[in-house]
Amino acid sequence: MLFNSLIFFVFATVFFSFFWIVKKQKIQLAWIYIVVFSFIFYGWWDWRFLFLILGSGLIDFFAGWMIYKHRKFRNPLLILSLLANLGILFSFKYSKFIFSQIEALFSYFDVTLHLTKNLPAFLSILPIGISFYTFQSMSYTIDVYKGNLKPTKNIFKFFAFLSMFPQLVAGPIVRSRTLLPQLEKMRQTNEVERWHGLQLIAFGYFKKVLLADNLAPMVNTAFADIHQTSSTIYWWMTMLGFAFQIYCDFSGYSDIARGLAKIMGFHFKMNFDHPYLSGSFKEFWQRWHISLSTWFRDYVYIPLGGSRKGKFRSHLNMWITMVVSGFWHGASWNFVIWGWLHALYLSLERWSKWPKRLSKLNLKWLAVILVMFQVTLAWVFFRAQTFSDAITILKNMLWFNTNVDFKITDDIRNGFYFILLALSIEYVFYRIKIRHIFKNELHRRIAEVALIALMITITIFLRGKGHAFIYFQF
Amino acid sequence: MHLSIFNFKNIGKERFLWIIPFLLLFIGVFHYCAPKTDEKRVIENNSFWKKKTFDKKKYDVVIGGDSRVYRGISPGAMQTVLKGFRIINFGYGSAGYSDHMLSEIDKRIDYKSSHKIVVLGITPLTLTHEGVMNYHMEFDMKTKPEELIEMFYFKKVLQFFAPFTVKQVWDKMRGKEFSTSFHQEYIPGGWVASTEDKPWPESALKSYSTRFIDNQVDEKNIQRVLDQVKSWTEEGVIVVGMRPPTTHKMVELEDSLSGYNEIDIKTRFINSGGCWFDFNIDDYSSFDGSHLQRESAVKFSTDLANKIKTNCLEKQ
Repeated sequence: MLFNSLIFFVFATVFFSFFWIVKKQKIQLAWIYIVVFSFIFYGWWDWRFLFLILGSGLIDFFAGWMIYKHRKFRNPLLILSLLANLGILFSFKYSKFIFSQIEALFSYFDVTLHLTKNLPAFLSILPIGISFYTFQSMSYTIDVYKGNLKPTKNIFKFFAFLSMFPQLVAGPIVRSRTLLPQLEKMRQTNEVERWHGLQLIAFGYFKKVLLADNLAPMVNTAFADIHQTSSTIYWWMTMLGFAFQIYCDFSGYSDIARGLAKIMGFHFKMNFDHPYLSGSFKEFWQRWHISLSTWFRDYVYIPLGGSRKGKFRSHLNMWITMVVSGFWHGASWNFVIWGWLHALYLSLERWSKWPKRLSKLNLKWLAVILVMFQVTLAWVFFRAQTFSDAITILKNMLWFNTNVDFKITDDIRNGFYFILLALSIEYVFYRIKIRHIFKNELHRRIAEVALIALMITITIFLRGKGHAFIYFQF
Repeated sequence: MHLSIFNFKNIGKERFLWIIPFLLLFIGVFHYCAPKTDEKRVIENNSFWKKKTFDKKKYDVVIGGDSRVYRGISPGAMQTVLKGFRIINFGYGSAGYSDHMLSEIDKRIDYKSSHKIVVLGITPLTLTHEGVMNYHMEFDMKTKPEELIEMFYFKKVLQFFAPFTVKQVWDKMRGKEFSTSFHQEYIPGGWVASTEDKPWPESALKSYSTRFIDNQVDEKNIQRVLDQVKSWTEEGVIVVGMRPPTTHKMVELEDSLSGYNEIDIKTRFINSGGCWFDFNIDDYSSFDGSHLQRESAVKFSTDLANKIKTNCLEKQ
């Protein structure tokens, strides 16, 4: 079920209408209520894949208990649980890609293999959100293994944590340590929480439905035929459009998820913190997809040794983490290159310390532009269908030309307005706090309510054509 | 009763609710000031096709065919002659008589009815490879449940909140609002009443001149229709065949390029148990050289119903 569909509004209305009552009953009932609605939410897309969440969840629920009860066998139990989870992820997400690479490798030696042809048909469907819930489920077992978490005895509580519908298909990846304690007791929300929840939801829809969906036609047209023009200005505009499309699409989803959770009485940590205002790559990764970055930091980078084993190992660990993060996004070399490029940027930054040097010269704004410039270049690999497409686009962007041999269509014009709007919001809107304009508390609150109402109205009437969220495919 | 919500001093406690009057105000203003767009028609169009596709009712008269049928036959006009008959126009864009299409027509026949009639509009395209792919119908058949719910129960809501673009707002401010000379009305029963204020009776000829390249009338497709006609007539269904009226130039073009032999098809159709009606093209006018204008569609529907009444029902 998509957040930006009418059916979701019906679903959410029914869910919240009874949730207040259910919350006052036995806690078990509230967990079951959350699980049932979350399964309906996911099963609406394809009910058969509910068995994957169930399977993945059951493995970790029982693995968690076994590890806790039998500390002697904790190593093999953890390995078994990780193998099962990663096996499911590999089968659905990576098997086709890996097998096609093996086929290509053997074809160099004139050996023809038919691995991809023989894959079962159901493996060609990528279950929505598989990477998100698998990682969330895995983190539970790892935390129990490390002794950071006592496993829950109640299977409904566990599944309420794993499948909670706001974050089920596209994050934020909520850690068991964060969410399970919140599930202990169903809190009644106060007015401030509900209002902040509504604000987040309104911002989320504004980003997704107004900005991302209005930028999508311009970007999609450009990528449908990358040879239509070699104009540098066209490709920079397209890529800037994509940079904001993916940011607004994904952070919009996260905001809606956080807002819904807040109204339910749960707190999810911020997932995006204006990443395009970053003055360095280190800062960028502290602001972009924070729940995934910290997941990789805690479960890959630090276990590899982090920065404790010298400069070289620190760089190497960071490169491994970034490449794995790229591969997490999709089974394609382009995603690996995207991760690799960010690793390169980070290494160069650590080595040269260029952001600090610019800051000392009071040129932080230049650092922000330079980070944005490089991030936009890396997005080319993320969006292009093939490696050669990405290279063609990069050539157009970097070998500057003054071509304007493209037709200014309504999509481009519309895209341009929304890039300007997105830029304005990032650089101006969030810096002007209403409390600075309105000294009077009452006036401020009225203005705040009116502004959110206006924002919702603009989102409704100027919405773009409904698209699925980009991160669903990961 | 303590109505703190209506006290501005307590607004800090009631923001969640106070947003409602603001929303109603803004939505009202935006809806009132919204520029004219084609979006409402697009929603109407979507809803019309989904309802036609997923309508499971049974009918006395089921009419199949391509766009010449769905634009050219008004069940309402037919009902003025065939009083009390339940009639559905099951025509689709670029449709053809595949097994699936024929079975969907069959599903809509009320076999308990004393007058069971199937009308098949047989244009060259309905017997080609491209036609039997039935892209339009198959696309609608694959509609997701949520879209069906939206189209069946929330059409008016979607139309009220029909979106517009920044450019359309700008155009409205400059007095250049959306307008069209082509009007389509989606009538329950499956008819799309089409009116072109500036008819151009040759505009469709260009596209039709290339439509039959590697896409000729196929004997297999003719035989499938004939087998079905035979099967229906054996079950007591009256089967009517006809070539929906278009323009002389279009008939000439289709006959020369598609491999369609009307006389042969008509003869075999009758031999299979069906009856075939001919119509005088000059009695009707087309807006694009292929499809009938609204008034002509009404006249054609009445003529068709009269022929059914005279030749099929009164002879029974």
